[in-house]
Amino acid sequence: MPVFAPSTVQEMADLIYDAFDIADEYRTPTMILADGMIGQMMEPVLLPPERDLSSLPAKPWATSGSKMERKHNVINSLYLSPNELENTNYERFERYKQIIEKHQRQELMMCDDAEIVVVAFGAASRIARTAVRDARAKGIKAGLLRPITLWPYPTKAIDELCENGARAFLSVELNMGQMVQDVRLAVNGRATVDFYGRTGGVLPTPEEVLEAIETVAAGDPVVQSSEVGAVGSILPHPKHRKSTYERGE
Amino acid sequence: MAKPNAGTITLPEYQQERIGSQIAADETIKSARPHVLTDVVTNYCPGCTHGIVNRLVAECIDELGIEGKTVGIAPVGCSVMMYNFFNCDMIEAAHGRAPAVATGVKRVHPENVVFAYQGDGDLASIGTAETVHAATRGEKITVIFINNAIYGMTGGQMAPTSLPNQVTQTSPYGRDVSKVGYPVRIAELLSTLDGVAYVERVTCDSRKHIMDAKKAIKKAFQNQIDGVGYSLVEVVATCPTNWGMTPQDAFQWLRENMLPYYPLGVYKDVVADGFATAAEAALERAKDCPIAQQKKED
Ligand SMILES: Cc1ncc(C[n+]2csc(CCOP(=O)(O)OP(=O)(O)O)c2C)c(N)n1
Ligand code: SF4
Ligand SMILES: [Mg+2]
Repeated sequence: MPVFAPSTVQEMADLIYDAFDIADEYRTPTMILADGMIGQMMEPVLLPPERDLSSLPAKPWATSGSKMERKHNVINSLYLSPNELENTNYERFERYKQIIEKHQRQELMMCDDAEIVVVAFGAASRIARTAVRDARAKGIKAGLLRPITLWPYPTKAIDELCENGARAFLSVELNMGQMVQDVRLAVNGRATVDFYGRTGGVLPTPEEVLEAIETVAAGDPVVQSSEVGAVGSILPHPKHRKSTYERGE
Repeated sequence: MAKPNAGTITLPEYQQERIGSQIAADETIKSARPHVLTDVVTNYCPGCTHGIVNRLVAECIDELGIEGKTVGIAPVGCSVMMYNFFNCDMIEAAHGRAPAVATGVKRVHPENVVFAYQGDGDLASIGTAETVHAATRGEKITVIFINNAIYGMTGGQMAPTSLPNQVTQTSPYGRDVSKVGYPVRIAELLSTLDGVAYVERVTCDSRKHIMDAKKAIKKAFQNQIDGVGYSLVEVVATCPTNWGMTPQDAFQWLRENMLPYYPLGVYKDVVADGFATAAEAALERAKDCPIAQQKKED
């Protein structure tokens, strides 16, 4: 299912329109994956102008009455014959393939010559953005890859980054490392993949993320994520667990 | 528009084979398959009430001439394959979600006639929330509810509607109300909701009751066509297979045990009460409540 991860309130609004269009074109559910920060944030929003909907894809499958002019339409998900169900699955995966081809989306910042690429989506990407700029100021060739679609995952962008000399990826997340495997699959051994994350509503400071970038730049892993198999092995280093930002009681 | 294809018809081949010499293929038959029913053999057990009610719904659609604008929502349960039995547009909903799907179709296409057809496990167990909220929202849909006091499709487990002490696969010593509580009377329950226009409970154990059931189903469709509001017909039904009885014994058991617990009758009918819509009736019921009487300007 296409999943969109906005990093601003404006983007959250804009993505709704795109998500509807993709849902309509491919007959698939789509999801807007906002996080607790983005979801509760107030920012000005400009809604797009109304548009003409007459060019939306035709819907010959719709169950809106046969008007006695066509054979009746049926919408169901029950296939009792294994052959029929297998064919349905193939047809669906054909659709997924098209979505993977056409709808990967990401934002790149300072990536042209990046050796260390921070990968972050949603609110985490806003913190990572500052940290990457600070790293550049310190002479580290860091860049930011912000996935806008989490599925399809922006693998083509990661391919290009690897081809252009990225040697290390650092997944910065506001969760327990759920994205690490996506990054590792896309990197496919061409660079190291590390993880720095906080959860539960604790936000890392840009300084903490910068420290993680510096650790990676020095060639040390932040955590032993190259051995990632179980989620437990990608927990952030204990020294990072106490944040300078704590939620007020 | 669609008319029942009565008159002289040639029996389909599979019927000629089965009926053989008893009825010649060119004999005149007065009552034929309604147009909105497809020419397939259903999966219902012999003597099952589902078959009768499918037929009644089909006759009503034919007689009202609404096949071309009707959208039916099939449940999960023995009637899950209903989308293969009907010639109108059909959707198969997830278990219990037929009223939610019907709501979506009706709101997007108010000109369509939308009906949900659901069993008691579907409507009164997993889908209770959808049922109650579609009713209280006053969705302008028609619901046909087959209450056979059991989960038929999955092999006869206890349903919320199973009677006290009724033996089922999951209540082998009889339904123990001290542990699992009491049956739900859906018609009574929904009749208290302001969003509801019409609720009637019927059954199909005799020719007369079948004709009454048809009248109720037709009214539930007519109400939708007239914009009166949410209408539900509860059919007290049998499941001979999982009750472990012959169809005749099942109807006898229904008369002895089901009907005293689920009395037949009209539980709400705003039209009979002199209102044009459920909304008008709701306004009158709340006549002493000032805020409910405020007119909405838009
Ligand atoms: C989400 C989900 N839960 C459970 C089931 C299994 N299931 C299939 S039919 C059924 C009950 C059907 O009973 P009822 O609605 O009374 O229909 P009947 O077969 O008696 O007409 C159940 C529990 C399912 N298909 N989907
Ligand atoms: S199992 Fe029961 S409800 Fe289902 S078709 Fe057979 S008799 Fe009817
Ligand atoms: Mg049942």
